[in-house]
Amino acid sequence: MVAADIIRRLKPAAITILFFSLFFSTFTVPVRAEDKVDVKGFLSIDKRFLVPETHTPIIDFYNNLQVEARAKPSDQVSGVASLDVRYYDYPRPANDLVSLEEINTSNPVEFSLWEGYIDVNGFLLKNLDLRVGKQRIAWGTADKLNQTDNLNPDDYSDPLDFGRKFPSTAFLATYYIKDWQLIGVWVPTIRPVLLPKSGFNLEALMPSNLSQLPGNVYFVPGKITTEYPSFTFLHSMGALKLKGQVLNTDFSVSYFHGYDDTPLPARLSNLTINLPEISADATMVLPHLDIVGLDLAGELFTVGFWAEATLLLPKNKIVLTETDQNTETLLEGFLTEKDRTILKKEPYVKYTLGGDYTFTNGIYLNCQYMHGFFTDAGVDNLGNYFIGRIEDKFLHDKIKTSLSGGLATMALTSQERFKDTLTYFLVPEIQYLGIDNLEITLGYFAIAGKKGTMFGSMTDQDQIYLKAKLSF
Amino acid sequence: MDKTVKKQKAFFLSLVLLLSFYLLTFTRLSWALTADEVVDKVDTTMREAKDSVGMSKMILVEKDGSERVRQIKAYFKKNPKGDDFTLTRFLSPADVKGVSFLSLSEDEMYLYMPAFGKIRRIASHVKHESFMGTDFSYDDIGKTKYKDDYDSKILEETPAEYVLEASPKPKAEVGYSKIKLWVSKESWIPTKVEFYHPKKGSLLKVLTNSQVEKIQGHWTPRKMVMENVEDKHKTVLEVTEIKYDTGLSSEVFSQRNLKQSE
Repeated sequence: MVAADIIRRLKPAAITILFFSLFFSTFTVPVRAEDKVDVKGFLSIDKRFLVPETHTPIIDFYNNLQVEARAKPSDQVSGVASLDVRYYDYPRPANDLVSLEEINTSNPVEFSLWEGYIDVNGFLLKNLDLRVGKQRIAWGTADKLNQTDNLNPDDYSDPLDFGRKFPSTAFLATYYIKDWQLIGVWVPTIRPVLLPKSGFNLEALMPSNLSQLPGNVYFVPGKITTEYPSFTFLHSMGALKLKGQVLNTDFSVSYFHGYDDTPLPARLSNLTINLPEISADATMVLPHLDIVGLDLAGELFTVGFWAEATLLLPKNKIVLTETDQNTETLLEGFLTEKDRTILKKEPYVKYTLGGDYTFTNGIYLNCQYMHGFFTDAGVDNLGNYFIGRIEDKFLHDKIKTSLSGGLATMALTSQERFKDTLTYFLVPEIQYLGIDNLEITLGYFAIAGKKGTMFGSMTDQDQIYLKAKLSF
Repeated sequence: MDKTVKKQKAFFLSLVLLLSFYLLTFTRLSWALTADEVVDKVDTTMREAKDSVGMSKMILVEKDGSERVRQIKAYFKKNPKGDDFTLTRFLSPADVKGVSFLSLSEDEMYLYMPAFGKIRRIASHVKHESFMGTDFSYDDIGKTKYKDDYDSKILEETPAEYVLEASPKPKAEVGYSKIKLWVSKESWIPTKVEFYHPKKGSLLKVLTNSQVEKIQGHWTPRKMVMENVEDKHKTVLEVTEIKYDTGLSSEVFSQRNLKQSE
């Protein structure tokens, strides 16, 4: 066995040991003996079963372990580091015997530092707090459907938990002036969206007229490459926010300069024509934009309400072009420049309106309307989404039942199009919370709609899910 | 001898007169208190301290006797201009650790859920709901004044206590059709409170305050038991540690502090 083989075999284990050592040593070295390091986390076992007509395959969904260590060596300073471990039940393909020597073939595991930041309260000024490091910066008042929340990339790895984000490295400063807050954020580098492993249809990111070209010709994407902006100061991201209260209503105004985390197709190459299909490799880019945001939260006659709106100002127009000169004319034959425009350089508005109420019998209702989903980009491509949830708790919160549902349509231009783009989903769920620190969930996710629409690209993903989560 | 007898008679007469005067005065004073005055005394006693910081053990007791325990830390500050400020943090168990609830007024409440890293404004429709699965509602936890929401009348008076019945004021948003209070004349702490169902009018919950003692000059029930008489579930709140008049800053009751861990 050569040295390289030994290193390759030991690498996963060595990385794991190193990671844990660093993770815990971060808190054991600088922290004084009398200071406590608070460790907490959760272990989530997640099983999902597809519900097609003929059989019931188990989805290769991840189980999740998250461990967070928090230390507060002084009143002014604290630190948090959390380790995220996702492990799968499916083995990875073994195309040769060497693959079977890799632990990750039979036990696929993904490690990441979920969050790792330092908090300094009263930094330089009594009313200035600073948070530096990998962190989640939650903005907005809506329930998950936060239009103003653009600093962290979207995490679509769990299609049942849309609206989730994952942390990114940032410098966050908050200055408090009585009941007002002035917040400044600098995010040195862009991170792209995390798409679901179950597959995400590129058609959903493309203008709908590319899904079906004139003459029943279909476009089928080949190899897809995502291009990042250069990692320089000029291409870093930043945001400012002023938060306060007027007439007992919380509000904030914000400004964001940076990139959308969802890439859009910008160039095609290696075009091959095999009618009725046209196939090509696609190069995706992250749209550069400024976003002005506004959010509100308050109550009216005991009913909770919230609103979030953003004015998005694309910095550049994105027109689908071809690198292969010979086929340019061919594509132009199918589509005009207008049809190939993926993102116009025109301002557009997205917003979310919502409210919630608890009835006297204890039933809780939460409804939201969203104009423009996170992945909808451009003035002509904003869909409409209505999402609601009704829940009730029994036996002193030991049992929680809920029914979530949503209706979605792509950008509306006519009645016919409304019908064509209408999709829906339904999620009935029951949770058992009768034992402290344990949460058991059983649910069903049903989705229906035409291919080429946002939810329609997931219509083969109807599933039963069973989850157990232990907190510690 | 006669002189001695006369002196003894005069002494006993004086004593009887003094006792009679004392008893008459005491009784007259007691009867002189109206229901509003009793409620005022209760409200004043419960809000006597300018602020407090307390650690408590919250035990959820099932009908079969099985228990679930939560540790909480609660901050209170009297607000002379309006509703008092309260901040309640869960310290254990792990699945609720760090969950914090801030109440600045009846219609300005915030909940911090560490798992989401986000502060959520809570509308007042939740105030009659169970507070984190306990038998206390959000309103029970945050309420420090009865007089604002209830009109009271005296049902009974004994040498040791008053029994009051309090009915909601016409526009008061309370979760009960009426409440009955047993108020100690010594401490002016309600030793027992009955809460009646908002629709059915039947007895719904009973709060029993016991182990009442003076701490830093303030009467404090160290044990509170809220029992739901309908499902026989109860929540025991044991105050393990409390400090009064610590000079708590208003900044403790801010969104900035809500996110901080203990």
